[in-house]
Amino acid sequence: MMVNPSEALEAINRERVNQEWINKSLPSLRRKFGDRYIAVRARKVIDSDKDFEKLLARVRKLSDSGSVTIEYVTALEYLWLL
Amino acid sequence: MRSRLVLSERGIEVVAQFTCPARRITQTYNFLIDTGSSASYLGWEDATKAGIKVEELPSSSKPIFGFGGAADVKHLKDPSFLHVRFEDNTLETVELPDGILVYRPSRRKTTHWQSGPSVSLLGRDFLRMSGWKLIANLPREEAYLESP
Repeated sequence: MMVNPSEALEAINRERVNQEWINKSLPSLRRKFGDRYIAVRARKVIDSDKDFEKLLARVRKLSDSGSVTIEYVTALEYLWLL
Repeated sequence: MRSRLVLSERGIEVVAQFTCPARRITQTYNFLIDTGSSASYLGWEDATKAGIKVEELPSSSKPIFGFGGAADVKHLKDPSFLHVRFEDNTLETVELPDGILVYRPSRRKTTHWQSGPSVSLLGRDFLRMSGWKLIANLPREEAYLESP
């Protein structure tokens, strides 16, 4: 299985745009979607659910599911410890 | 050459494409760079997104010790690859010959300690195997991976 560099770069750029938008929008996302998983496409929340697998099943039905980022948004701002 | 990293409330992150030819997996993930972790991990949500049946993977041969709480750890043993974009829009590839670990945090939850969803991590093994430097200048809100 060979990786197509231009497709990989495009997918990385799409994911990065979504992630940077999520990071920047966290305060408002927390208010609207706190403690839920959100599905983001092109800087827009297109779906959300408390259950990851239910949300993933709906996202998989989309024709462009590869361009959707799924992320969990905590209602509170936590200190992170790995 | 440099790859600019994303700074988030979780830490320093890199968006990379993960491929596992034996399982025909190609998925783009957001990984947290964790120099406190000796190994790299896929979170169970990210593994599930790729269609991996995490519960069917063998358990990690080594026990895991972590400060962030307990976790069930499995091992995706098939050789895998991480593809990272660098500034001149080129793609650099890191081979993970022993695959990657997959973890799921324990379900314990208390008022102030939230055992949340899993986060995919690139640990010191990734930094060693890639040969790249991790450069973090947090006062300037900049972080990079730098290839020789």
